[in-house]
Amino acid sequence: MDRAVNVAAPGQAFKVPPAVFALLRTAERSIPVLILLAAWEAVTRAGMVQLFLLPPLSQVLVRFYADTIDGTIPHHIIETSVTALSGYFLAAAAGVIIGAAMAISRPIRYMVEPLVSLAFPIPKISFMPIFILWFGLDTLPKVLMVAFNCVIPITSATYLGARSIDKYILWSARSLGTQPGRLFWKIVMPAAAPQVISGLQIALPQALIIGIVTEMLTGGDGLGSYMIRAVRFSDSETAFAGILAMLVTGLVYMQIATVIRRRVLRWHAEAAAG
Amino acid sequence: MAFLEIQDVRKSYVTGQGEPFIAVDGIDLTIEQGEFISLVGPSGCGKSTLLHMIGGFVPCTEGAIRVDGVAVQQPGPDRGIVFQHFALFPWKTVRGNVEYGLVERGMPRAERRQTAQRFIDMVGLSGFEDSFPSRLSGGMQQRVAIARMLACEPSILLMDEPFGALDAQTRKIMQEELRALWHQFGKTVVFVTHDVREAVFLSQRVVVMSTRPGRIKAIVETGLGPGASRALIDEKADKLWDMLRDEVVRAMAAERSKA
Repeated sequence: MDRAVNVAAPGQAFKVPPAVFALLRTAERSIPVLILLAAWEAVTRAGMVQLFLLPPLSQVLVRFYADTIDGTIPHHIIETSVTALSGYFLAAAAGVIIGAAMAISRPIRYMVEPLVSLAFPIPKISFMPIFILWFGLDTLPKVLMVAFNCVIPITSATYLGARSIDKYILWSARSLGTQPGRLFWKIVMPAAAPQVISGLQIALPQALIIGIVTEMLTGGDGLGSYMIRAVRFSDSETAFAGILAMLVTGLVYMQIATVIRRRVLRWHAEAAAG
Repeated sequence: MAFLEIQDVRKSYVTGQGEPFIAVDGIDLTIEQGEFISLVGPSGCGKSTLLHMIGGFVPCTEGAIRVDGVAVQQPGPDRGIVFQHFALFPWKTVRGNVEYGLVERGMPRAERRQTAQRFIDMVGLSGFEDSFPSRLSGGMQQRVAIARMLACEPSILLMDEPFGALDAQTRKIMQEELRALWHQFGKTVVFVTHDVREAVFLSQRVVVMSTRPGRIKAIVETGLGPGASRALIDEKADKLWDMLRDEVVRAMAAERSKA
């Protein structure tokens, strides 16, 4: 009987506020994660693994909570963020400038394009020993390592975006009175914005990854060394707590990036669809 | 002296395969102020190339194009253009697009607003001033492009298959509106299309072009007033199509033999 009523008034049967709907969807998508976490707890509680190698989730959470409350984890998150974001913004500025210069100038394109192609596939982190050699063990080599890694995708996205502009849009601007010298900043760069922002989005998690790895290699503070130090003291709970901290940091970063993208690309078709 | 003079214009270039290619050759055409003229021909006959040369986007290899006695060297706001795929600035709103040329000209803000609004109203987009192009239908986007062009008050309107990407119903409406606009303003229009009925319906003269190289095959006066009956338009269009048909078949055969 209930079904019959629903069929009769399908529009009214399921009127859920959008916020509640979004929450339900997130909850639904969390189920696999929750299953994994439950399995983790169950396997460790059942004594199927050595607790030193994989401590129970509940204990990791207790450690995570304790280290968050006493300020240890926030301190390391800030440390890692300063390294990762300094390098990232350095890379963003350099990458957009280099990519734009490549699109404008043939000689610059000639000089830089092969270098970018060459650098693209190699794991940039392999330069870290050299960076340590040149810049020591302090913050500088870490920041530069992040920048070196992130500048490549940002440069190439900017360059490709600026090159792929529709000829007719340029012609329209010319016929509306824009002089050739001003086309680049008035037309080409705004038109390339979606690709530039994609490049920036790709580089952001890389900045975190590289930041953490360099901390593991050089010591100092930050999430990377927080974990490595814990392992040296056979403290696996703290190492796993570090993973949780990274997860939280990464998610927050990506969320911020998504919000910024939506704001900046308000005009884009993808924003219209969403 | 005619308003728009196209004198013995030739455009040739070297293709990617290194072969010389003649796009158009020996084009002689004079267009009077306030005239509506269409260029029709098979694909690849160079009708768009000719339009782009008038616009100053592409240089002539030989010959000259003069507007009001002055040789065309580069694009400029005296010759407005709309393209088949609208070529709007997607990051600007409807108002931003229509105001663009006015900003470039340095018009003060208040006056710019007013002028843009007049043209937005004229093309029937009142209420969409703050919409981005990605939210508009094809027909509405082309209206924005037309308003953007008209706002600069060009003396010549160049239209490059402007309704080619629209569905049949929208296209009909847009044709009627363009004709009404032209009667209202009496601007010079050079209109490229492959639709002979569209050409007959809109223009006073139709230039039929042949292909490879693109040359003028015939210039036909439509002689139709604004109140011409559908039957009369169809009859003229059929005649024109007979003339064009051979060219299209020839162009297709050439395309096949090349493939």
